[in-house]
Formats: sequence, C-alpha cells, structure tokens
Amino acid sequence: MNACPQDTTLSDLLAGLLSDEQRADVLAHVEDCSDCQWVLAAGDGARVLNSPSARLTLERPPPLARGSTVSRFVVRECIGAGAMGVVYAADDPELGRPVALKVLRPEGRHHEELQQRLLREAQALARLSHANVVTLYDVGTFGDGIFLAMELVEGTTLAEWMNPPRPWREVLRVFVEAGRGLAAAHAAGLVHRDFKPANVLLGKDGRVRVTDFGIARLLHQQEAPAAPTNPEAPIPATGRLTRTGLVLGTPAYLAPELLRGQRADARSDEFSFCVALYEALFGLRPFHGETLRELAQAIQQGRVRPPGREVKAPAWVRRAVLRGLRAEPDERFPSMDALLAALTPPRRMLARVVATATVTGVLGALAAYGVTHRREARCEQEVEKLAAAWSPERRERVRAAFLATGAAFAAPAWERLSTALDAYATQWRTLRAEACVAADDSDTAKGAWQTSACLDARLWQFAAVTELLEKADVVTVQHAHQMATSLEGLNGCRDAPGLSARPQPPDPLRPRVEAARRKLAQARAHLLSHRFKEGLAVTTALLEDIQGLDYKPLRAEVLRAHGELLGALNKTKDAEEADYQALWAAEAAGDDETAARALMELIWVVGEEQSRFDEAEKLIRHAQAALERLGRERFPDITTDLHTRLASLRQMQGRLAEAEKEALQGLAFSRGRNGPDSLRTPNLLHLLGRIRSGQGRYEDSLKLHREALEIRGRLMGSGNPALVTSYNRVATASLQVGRHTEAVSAWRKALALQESTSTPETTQLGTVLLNLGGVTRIEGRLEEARSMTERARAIFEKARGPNHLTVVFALVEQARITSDAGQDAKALALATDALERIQRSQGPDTPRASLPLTLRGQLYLKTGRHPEARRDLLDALKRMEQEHGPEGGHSVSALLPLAEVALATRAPKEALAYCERARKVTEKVQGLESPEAASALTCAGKAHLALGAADEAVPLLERARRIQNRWGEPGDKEEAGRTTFLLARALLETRTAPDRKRALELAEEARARLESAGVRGRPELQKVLAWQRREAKP
Amino acid sequence: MSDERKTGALAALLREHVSREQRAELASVEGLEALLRGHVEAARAAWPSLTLPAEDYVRHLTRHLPTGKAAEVLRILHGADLYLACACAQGEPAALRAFEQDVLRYIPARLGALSPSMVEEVLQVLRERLLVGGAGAPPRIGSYAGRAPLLTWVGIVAARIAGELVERNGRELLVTESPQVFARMLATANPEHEVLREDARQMLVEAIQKVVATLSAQERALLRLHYFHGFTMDRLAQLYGDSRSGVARKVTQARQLLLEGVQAELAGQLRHDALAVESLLGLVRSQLDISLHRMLG
Repeated sequence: MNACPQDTTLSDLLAGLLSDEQRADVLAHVEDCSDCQWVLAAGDGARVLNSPSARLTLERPPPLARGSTVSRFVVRECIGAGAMGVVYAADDPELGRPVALKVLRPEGRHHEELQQRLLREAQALARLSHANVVTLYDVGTFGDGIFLAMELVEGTTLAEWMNPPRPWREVLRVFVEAGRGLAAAHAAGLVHRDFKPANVLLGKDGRVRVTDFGIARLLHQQEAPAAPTNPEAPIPATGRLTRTGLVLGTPAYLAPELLRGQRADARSDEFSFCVALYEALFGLRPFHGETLRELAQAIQQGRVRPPGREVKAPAWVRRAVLRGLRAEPDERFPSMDALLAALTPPRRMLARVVATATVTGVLGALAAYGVTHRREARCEQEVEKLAAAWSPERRERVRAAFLATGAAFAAPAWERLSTALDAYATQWRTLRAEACVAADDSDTAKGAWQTSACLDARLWQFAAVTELLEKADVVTVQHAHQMATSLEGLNGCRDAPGLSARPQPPDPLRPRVEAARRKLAQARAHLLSHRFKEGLAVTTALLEDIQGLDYKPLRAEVLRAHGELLGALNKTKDAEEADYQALWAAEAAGDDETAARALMELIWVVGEEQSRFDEAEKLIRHAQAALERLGRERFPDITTDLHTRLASLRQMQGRLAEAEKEALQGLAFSRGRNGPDSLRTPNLLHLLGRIRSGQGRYEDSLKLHREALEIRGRLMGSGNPALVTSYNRVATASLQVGRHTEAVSAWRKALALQESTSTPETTQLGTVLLNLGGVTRIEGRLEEARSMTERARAIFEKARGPNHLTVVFALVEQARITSDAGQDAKALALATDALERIQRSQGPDTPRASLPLTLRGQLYLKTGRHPEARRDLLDALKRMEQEHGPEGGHSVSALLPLAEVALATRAPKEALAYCERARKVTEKVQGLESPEAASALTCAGKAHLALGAADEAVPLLERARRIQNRWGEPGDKEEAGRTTFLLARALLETRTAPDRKRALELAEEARARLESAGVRGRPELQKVLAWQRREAKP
Repeated sequence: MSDERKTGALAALLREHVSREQRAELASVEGLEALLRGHVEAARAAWPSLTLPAEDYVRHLTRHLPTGKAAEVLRILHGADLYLACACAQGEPAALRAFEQDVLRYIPARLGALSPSMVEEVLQVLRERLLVGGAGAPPRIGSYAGRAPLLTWVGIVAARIAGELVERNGRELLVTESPQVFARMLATANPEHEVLREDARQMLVEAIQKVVATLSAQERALLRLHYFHGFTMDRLAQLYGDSRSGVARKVTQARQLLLEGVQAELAGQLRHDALAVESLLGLVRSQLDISLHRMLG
C-alpha cells in the first residue's frame, strides 16, 4: 500500500477540494487503510456534534418520492412535516389498509442511542391499545432513522378545532376523551411529555385520539439539551424553526418542572392538558410571559389570566382546571383519572345503583336505569357464563371439600377464600355487564369488545382454579391464598384491555388456541396448589396436543409452565431445557412477557440450582432488558420476582451487599405496587432476613423474619402448615441473638403445625426436629433430644440417602447428645461415622468435613487424647479457612476448642492467641453482643487466668457474663455456669482487691446454673463444688 | 491595531506579495477588496481579542494561494480560522489562548475512545508540533492553508500523532479489526445476544466475518465510515464527490448484502433447529443495523 496521504490532502478531501483524479487516488488508499479512515473521522468530527464546525452541516434529507417503500409500506404522498419529521400517507400492502407513516431522523453524536430510545418508546406505545390513542401499527428502523406506521386519521387537530370557540360542553366532551387516552397511557407507564392541541386529532368519525407520545420531547431533549433554556429567550407565538429546521414546540403547554429540566411524570401531562383545556374554554392561555423566565414566574406565582370572553362553564369545571394548573405537581390531582372524575358531571344515579346492587341485582338495576329489555336479556346470558366458574353449587362443593379435609385450619381458610372469590365474582359480573351494555353504543363498542374478551379469558383462569378447589385436599387448602391471589386483576380489562390480554391468535386458530389455554389454566392451578405431578401431566399432554398448531405465543406459554413444574419437581436439567425452549419460542413470537417470565425461571435453574454463574449473569442482563421493554410498573409481579431472584442468587454467591440492595429495592417496590395481600412481600422479608443473618446483623434478621411470619399468618391463616418455614426462620434467628426461649417456642409451634397435617414426614419436618433437638439438648433434656434427632435422621436418610449433608448434621447432633450423656466412646464412633459419610459423598477434602472434625476434636479433648484433638481441630480449621478465608465466622468453632487443648497441655500463651483470634472474628462477623462473642471472651478470660493475670481476666469475663444474661435466664446454662465460675475464681485471685463476697455469690450462681443443666453440667459442677468446699472455709 | 481604510489597500497589499502569474489571476477576481475586507471582518468578529494587523494577515494569506487556484481558494477560504492560525504562528498570547479554547478543547472528543492519559499526550505533542517552532523553522500551524476548517485540519494532525504514539508505545489500538471486535459487538449493550448459547454466538461471529470478507473494499469502507465513524450521508457524498442519493444507495446496498449474506450463512448452518434459527435470525434482523458499527469497527 502507498504511504498515507498528507494531512492537508486529507483536509482538502474532506472539504471537497480535490480534483476527481486526485480524489480517486486518495480514496483508493483510504478504502484500504483503516488508519486513514479513523484520521478522516477525527478531522470530520463525525463522532462529535458539539464542535462548532459540525453544527453547520446538519440539513434535512429530501422527502421520499411517491412509490418508495419504507419497510413494507408504500409511500403515497407527503401530508405534512411536523415537529418530529415528515409524515406520509402510505399503504400497507400486506393488510391492505392505509397508514400514516412518520419518518424520524434523529441526528447527532448519540444518534444510535437515540434511535434505540425512540424505538423503545415506540414499541411501548405500540402495545397500547385504546380508543383515544392513535394506534401504532408498526415501528422499525429506516436508514439512519426510525419509522412509525400508525392509524391514518381523517379529520382535524384539536388546535384547528378550538378556533372558533366551541360551547363548553363540547369542549369538555372532547377533552375528557383525550384525557382518557392520556390516562390509559399513564396506566401503561408512558408519559406523553408534549401534550398540546396540535397533538390531539379529531377524526371525522367524531372520535378523539391523542398522538405523538413521548417522541417529540425525546427528540428535542437530544438536539437542544439546554435543559435550563436561556431564560431570556423570547417565546415564539406558535413555534419557530430551530437550526435543524424542526419546529420546536412552544413552551406554553409545558409544565414548570419541565422548564426547570426535571423529569416528566403523569402530572406534567395533567398540567399541559389543563393549559390546553383552559385555552379551549376561555379563549386564551392561562399564563403569559414574554420570555421563558416571565412565563415560569407567572406559573410559579399562579397568575392565571382572566377569561378572554364570557364563558358559561360551571364553577366545578373551572375549579378542576385551576387545580391542574398548580405549579407544584403535588398540589395537582394525583392522576389523570382523578382530574377526569372532577371534570365529569357526577352521575350520581348510576353510581348508587351499581354500588348497592347485589350480585344478582346488577342487571335489574341497570334495566331500571333505562336499558331496554332485549339488551338486558342478551347481557344476562353473557353474565351467566360466570356459573362455569362460581355457581352456588360449585361454591358449596368447594366448601364441603375444604371441611372434609378435617384440617384445623380448613374452616378459617374457607372463610377467607370464599370472601375473596365472591368479591371477584361480583366484580366480574359488574364489569361484564357494563361492557355488554357499552357494546351497543357505537362510540365505545370497540373498547367494550376488547374488555369482554379480556374478561372472558380471566373467567377460564377462575374456572380452572375453582375446579381444582372442588377436589381440595390438605395441600390445596394450605395454598388457597396463593390460588385466590393468582387470579389476575379485572380492572385492567376495563382500563387497558389491549395491554391486559395475552396475544390473540388469528381467527382460524382461535378455537384450538382457546381450548389449549383453558387446559393451561388448569396446569397453572395445579402449580399453585403444589400438585406438581398433576400439573406436569397436563402440560406434557398439552405439548403433544399443540404439535402442528402454529401459534408460538401459546407454545411459549405451555413450555414455560412445563419448565416451572419440572423445576418444582427438582428435575433441574429438564426444567432448564423447557425454559430455554420457552424463551426461544417467546422471542420468535415477539412475546416479551412470556420471555421475561421464562428468564426468571432460568436465572434460578441455571444460577442457584446449577451454579453456572457466568451464564446466569447473561440471563440476568437479558431479563433486565426484557423487563425494561415491558415496563416495570406494568408488570409489578415480574419486577418483584426479578429482584427476588437476584437477591437470592447474590446471597447464595456470598455477595451480600448486592443481595441486600436488591432485596431492599424489591421490598420497597413490592410494598408499593403489589398491595397488602401479596405473599411476595413477606417472601422478600424472609430473604432479607437471611441476608442480614449472613451479615451478622442478627437483631435485624429476627425483626424481618418476625414481620414476614406476621404477614404470612394474616394472609394464609395462623393454623396453616405453610407457616412452618416462617417459624423455623424466626426460631433460628432468635437463637442467633441468644433468645433461647423464643426459639424453642417457635420451633414447637412449627412442629405442631407440621404434625397437624396428614402428609408423610417431610424433610422440612426433619429440619425442625433437628433444630429443636439441638436446643433441647442444651436445655439438658437429653432423652427428648435424642428421640427428635433420631427421627430427623431417619427422615433425611429416607429422603436423601445415607451420606447426605443433612444426615451428617443429624449424626453430629446425636454424637453431641451421646457425649453430653457421658458415653464418650459411642460419641466418638458417631462422629467418625459422620466424617466418613460426608467424605464419601463429597470427597475426602470437602470443607463440609470441618463440622464432624471439630466435634471429634472436642470429644478427643474431653477424653484427654490431646494430640488427636489438636490434629482434628487444625484439620477442621484449615478446611474452614479454605472455604471462607482466615476470618470466616465458622472458624470460631475450631479456635475455641483449640484454645482448650492448649490450656490442657499447659500452653496458656498459645491458648490466649487462639482466644484472641476468635474474639477478633466474632466481633467482626457475629457482632459484639453475640453468644459467640461471649464464648470468645470467656476463652480469653480463662487463658489469662491460667497465665496468672486475674486482673486482666475479670473485665473480659464480666462482659461475657453480661452478654449471656442479656435476655434474662441464659440459654446455654452449662456455658453460662462455666463463665460465672471462672469469674468467681478470677475475682478471688485478683491481686489488687479480691472481692471474696461476690466471688462466693457467683460460685453459688454457677452451681445453680450447672445443676439445672442436667447431665451436661455435671463435670463442671464437680469442680465448682470442690472449689466451694475449699474456699467456703475461712 | 491599524485599521485605516484606504480604498483598495488590502487588495494592493495582496498584489504586492504574490507572484506575477497570480497577480494576473487576481486581476480577474471581482470585488477583491470587498472579499478580503469580508475575511478580515469575519476574523475580527470571531476573535475580537486578537490584535494581529490586517496587513500581516494578508501577507500570510499570500503564502497559501496556490497558483492557478487563487481565485477559487479566496472564495471558499475559512478566513477567520486562517487569521487565528496566523496570529498563533506569530506567538500572540491571546491567539494561543483562543486556540486552546476554541480548537484544542474539541480535539479529545474527535479522537474517540482513547485513554485520558493518551489524549493528554497527544495534546502535548500537538501543541509542541503546531505552536512551537524549532531550529529556525516557523511553527507548523503556519502551514494551515484555510481551505478546510482549522478544527478539521488540527483533528487530522492530532489523529496522525495519536497513530504515531500508538505505534511507538504499542499500548493502545486505534482500530481493531480482529475477531474480538465481532465478539464484542455481540457482547456489549445488547443483552439479547448475551443469552445466545456460546456455539450460536460463535456461529454468528464466523458468519459475519465470512460475509464481511466477501464485500468489496469500497463497500467495507462505506459501511465503516457511516456506521462506525458516524459520517452522515451528506458528508460521505462530499467525500466521494457523489450525490447524496447515490452514496445512500451504495451504503444501503452494502448493508443489504451483508444482511442477506449473514442470514444465508446462518440458515444453512442451523437447518436442524427451526426455532433456534428463527430466534437467532429475528435477533440478527432487528439488531444488525444497530450493531453494524461495532461489527465493522
């Protein structure tokens, strides 16, 4: 290749000054030289737009010629160049309908990013289907820009219509319709940002439609980022050409917070709406200013200009408009709905009729209001479809099934369930009747039809749930709340049916798709009631059935349910396969909702279940993107689930700070959006509780678990066995802060709940038994503890095989009990057995072996075999450090007995070093006031005492004792007794001022503690008694 | 500042300093004095703080009027920029400040994604090379001819310097053409691709590479300049001396070729899994435009 051209040559090339011949030469080089391309880009400033020379080069592209195509659309003619680009009339040859085609060309440095944002916004808008919003059929990229294909509305804009003045009733009718369009968009999480009369179309059919959501403002923000616009800039009367030739909207309709460069929300639209409405009603805009600053001041000071003509608008209209024009968003109506309600003459009669109507009386009441008989008959028929889901007969059968389970909590569960389902049924009837009546009104027919379709789809779900409830068993009764709350909200069907319904198939496929969806609803009901096998049978059959039915959204839905059921049955690999299939099918179908839901499953099944973290990270980002497209606010359940999944995964990975952040965000969101009856909130509370526990913040953890238990109890009924998990968590957390009594009572409660069911022994019961066995041992009731632990071990062995970690836990606990009972040889054998089992299942080097090793070390210590004790404990310590690092919280359990070994072998200095290490760890990990901290302090005190430094031992032991007695009677009486006895000895040995009286008192206290600790306390008790005999003599 | 307004003074000064051939050429320029006056006024308006006498400026200008093209250059001259360059060459402090403020400030943005330390180094070398004379040679900014905006010219010089530094230090790559770039295009800012199975991703990378290699040098250059370097169609048209529609058509064709090629490659390889093809192709279709710049980078 030739040498690169001179700087000036390239500069001339850019300036277009080279002769044809020279240019050809230079270009020939440049095309092959990526360095020169890069240099040219630096010279041209193509990468930047904020440089002075580049600004001048922007210009508008020529309009598209007749017959040219944009995507599949064929351009007919240019019908206008609006604020946002050029608008063409075009045809959609595939569907044979005319469309309005808007071509937008974002320019500038970030044009790709802007293009993306525009697309995102437009795609969100394309999901919005409402009678008062211009329907967006399609969006896509077109060269540098994007295109929007939308409903071609023949008619005028509101701006044109407002001139000449119209009667106030007319104005109000038109604006209320436009306002409904805005409200529907707000419900979908979209803000218009540039509402003004020019963006409202009045069709020849009389319908009012809002257009240009979000887009215009987005473009301007990019091109004129002077957010705090020059306040002295004059305000053009109607808009003015900017340097790029676009008309920058007049700021007259902008809310003051937008003038300040703040974010737009629904209330900004409300303000703009009210400016336009004021103008339409009273003939002039409410605020006036020659410059932006003056305008902003007028708004801020609430200086509303008096009407420009005499208007007979009633006072309530005026009041409502003025409230919408407040400078402070908080002082306006909280939502468009509230404003519209204030603008609508109160329809007192109808409101009263519907409110007081009983389930069966709605239609009669409507008839009395003036509905004809014929219509009534037809609508009555429609409404009676409800019987399929909730007829009085079925209601009775469900009640009977519930009570027949014989479970104690069945009756209260039925009360709650029937109340919820009756309310749901009533609401369904009311909405369905309204929609039916509205369908005869040509203005509202289209929306009403959509509403009806949406409501009918909800009815299948309802029917699937109640069908299952008829066959309720104990497990179903346990999950009745979940089933009731799974019923999707009905208001969505009325307010934004296009957004609330699943994608609908073309007509020829409809019957088969609907039949499949009904079956799918059954599968979901099975899933909710934890009948996973039955659910899986349904989805497996469904997957067969829909072979050859070419409708991907359905396939995606079925696969997703299939995957979720497989996951619940612990068939991890199969679940993953189904979830991925669901994801692909959903993506191919453009079904973002199902894709997002499938991703939630995948994050769990890939990340938490199979520890493939890299892949999980990618899935997470994918899920976040999918959710962003869907709209967080539109799908609060998915949003909450994503937070939950992430928090749970991070916790599992030990990334606690991130876990905490996710859980807190999820919790705030769930509380705000899911309502008080959602189980998602207590689930997140439990999760956060576990995270807090991992962070060593045990007090917080306990508080969170208690709150979760309280909510779950309220929602599911206090006798519900599903609460076992919650009680178990409260108990564990209680123990962590040293509240023994509370822990025991929570575990007893859990045990009672679990035993009240007829279900066979579950591993959950095993966990409770094992935990309870542990505290019972500490309380000194060894026989009781032994029987619980043995039962737990049997459950675990049966469910998970002989070498499972949980079996090892049970064995270790058995060894402790045996040792406490003084059978040391037998205890040693049990510990060795535990060690061998865990090494069999997890390999000889597993860190999990540290638990049996620690215990065996302690047993060796107890029987005076010090070298073996030291060996096992050091081995355990090494394994713990390998897993958690030198300062992991678990290491304390090996450090403390190592100190004891050192003391026993007369190496008090070494002992003190171990104790101090343990203290450092406990103070960092478990906290200053934890039971572990008390143990480490006791350890250090004992070592000092052995070193003859009683003065130093006293304050440490005092602190330890204070921690142990913090909640009144100490939980571990044996340990408390030992600490107290040590303190007594230290007080007497102290050189400065021996406090003999208190020492004797403390020794007495220690004796009492050790006696109440039963067999466990006996060895130490002997020492205390001997000491007392010695010292009691003066 | 001498601001005497003798009739025809600047034109006379200009004539005095050019060669005989050019003098004849200038004679044919209508309103020469007004043209020159216009340049001076534009310069004074743009840099009111500069004190460079109009005479010095005109004398400087004569050095940059190429024989045979003097008239043309005078018409397209970026007079204000040339004025600044001249004042800088004379070492006028206000000019150096203005150069820093109005030219150098915009250079980092034009250099794209270089590390801050690298950008600093480039600027330092740039200042030395342009503003400081050496061994009897005048500062190189004097060689700026005013035919393109000063910023353009300095941008080119800066980019060359960056290129030299990179070659010397071997620390950073300005333009990567390696497969990693393709992989990156699939990996960043585009979560849909993240989830593609590793094999599918590899397949996509290979397909794109294969197809890019079959494009002509011009097609590759057009796509790269437009999508990666951000040249608008108008700038490309100017660069190629072509009409806007002509260039746009070529870019579109190149993009179409690439898209079709990739689709054909993929469809061939993923025959066995219809759903995966559809999903992957759907992504390619919707993302290709947006990802092109990364793919070609």
